[in-house]
Amino acid sequence: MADAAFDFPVTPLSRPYWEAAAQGRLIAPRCNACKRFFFAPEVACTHCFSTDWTWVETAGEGEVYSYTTIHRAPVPGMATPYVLAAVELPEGFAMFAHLVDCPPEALACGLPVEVDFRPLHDGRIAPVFKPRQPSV
Amino acid sequence: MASARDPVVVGVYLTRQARTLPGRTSHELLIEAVKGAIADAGIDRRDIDGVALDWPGPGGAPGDSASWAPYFGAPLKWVDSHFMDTTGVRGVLKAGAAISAGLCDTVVIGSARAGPFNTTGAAVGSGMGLEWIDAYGASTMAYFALVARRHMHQFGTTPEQMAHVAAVIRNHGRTNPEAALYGGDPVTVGDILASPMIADPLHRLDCCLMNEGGAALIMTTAERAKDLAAKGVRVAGGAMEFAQGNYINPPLYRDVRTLGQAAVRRAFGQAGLSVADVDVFCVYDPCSFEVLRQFEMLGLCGEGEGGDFVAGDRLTLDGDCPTNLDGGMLAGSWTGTSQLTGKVIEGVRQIRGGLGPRQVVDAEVALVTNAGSGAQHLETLILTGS
Repeated sequence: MADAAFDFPVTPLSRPYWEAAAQGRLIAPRCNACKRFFFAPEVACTHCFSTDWTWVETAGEGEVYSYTTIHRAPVPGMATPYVLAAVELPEGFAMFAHLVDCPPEALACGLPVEVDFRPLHDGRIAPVFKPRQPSV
Repeated sequence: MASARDPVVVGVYLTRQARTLPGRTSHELLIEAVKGAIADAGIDRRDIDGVALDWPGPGGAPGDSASWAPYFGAPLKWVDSHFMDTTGVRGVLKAGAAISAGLCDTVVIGSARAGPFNTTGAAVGSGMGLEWIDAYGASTMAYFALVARRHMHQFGTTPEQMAHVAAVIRNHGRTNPEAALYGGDPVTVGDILASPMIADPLHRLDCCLMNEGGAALIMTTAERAKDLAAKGVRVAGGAMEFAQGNYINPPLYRDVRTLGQAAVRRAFGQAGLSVADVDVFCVYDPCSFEVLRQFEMLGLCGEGEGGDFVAGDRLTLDGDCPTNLDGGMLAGSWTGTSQLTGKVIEGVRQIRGGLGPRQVVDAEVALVTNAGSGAQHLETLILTGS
């Protein structure tokens, strides 16, 4: 399902997510019926089955639930190694993201992280996470 | 209570399993598997009135199991065409339900692959048009790695403990002439840990094979099975469990944990047995960690204790949990789908007996599992002698 504005596959469901990422915003679906976030975007809220939901910007912070350093490129042409993480957001959902700017010895489950935006292998801008700097 | 329509596996066949099978096609390989299973069952091909087979083509209606009708007892009474239903535990459970319900009497299940799994060089689970996986470069092994890493974090499970599982099962395959990795020197934990990292903490040798091959099996009613020469193996129990669709969101250990336990409990309940009765374990082994997790899931050890549980000789022929004695998917075969049937076939053969050096003496109960993708699903069978 190639889209004229992008040279990678997007769907009607995901398009706003990638457009927001290109503008430096991490958004996620939030249900208007049960008021809960869910991810990935689906036609209906995965908590209450309502189809009435809205994209809402997140605070952009989270914690690494788990991570893996990928050494074997899943698709030819991807540069390795890179760190794939399952990141939990306080809004109440978890998502895949790359972990960047993190020395290997600092990788840990529970690591506090904040969102940043970087190009993926195919050129699109994606939300990524980096270790959260202590607030001053 | 036993019924004349209870499903029984009466014929099994594995083609040659090898890294590549030059000159073969998926379709012709599957025909070999089907003919082999029919011969093993000692039935006439026209006895088959239910079909859950892939249709790789060329020819026929692409992907439609009904394309097999001319070769069997047409008109067929039942077909299933989905690639996850034409194989393994899911195939056996759905065909078994159809047989029990009287929709058909004799079903053939099977799939095969010759040629590469994909032509792009992408890892399994990636490059398949799955948006959230492709964007971030995940794959099946990345899924399992995320679960394994969290297990290490919470319980102190070590790469050495996982590598031990891989070494034991790979050594089983080394001595099984039908395994893709038959022969060679014994595999050590050091070999596993020295192999290239794929998705930390999983090394190449922690991960299952990618090879070519096929498998098929025949099921019929208990009543018909009585008249056949081959020893039938009863599907005494079975169940499935699905947590979420594969390849969308990251697998979180807190969701995965002991996924499959409810299914296993239901299956043992149907069979009137418990895990203590199991003589042979044919567990899904896409990677070393998943085997360890399944022993926790089975309740043979506590959550987080899998690493200690699988240590030593426990998973060998001489241990109290003989596991994947054929080499499993780590050294036996993984083709995409036919390894799911392969798990059932090893259980059936162990109960039939006569497997030579890897035979579990007087095996009466086999536990079979299929699972996948960071354990987003698990299917199980309890097989017993008729």
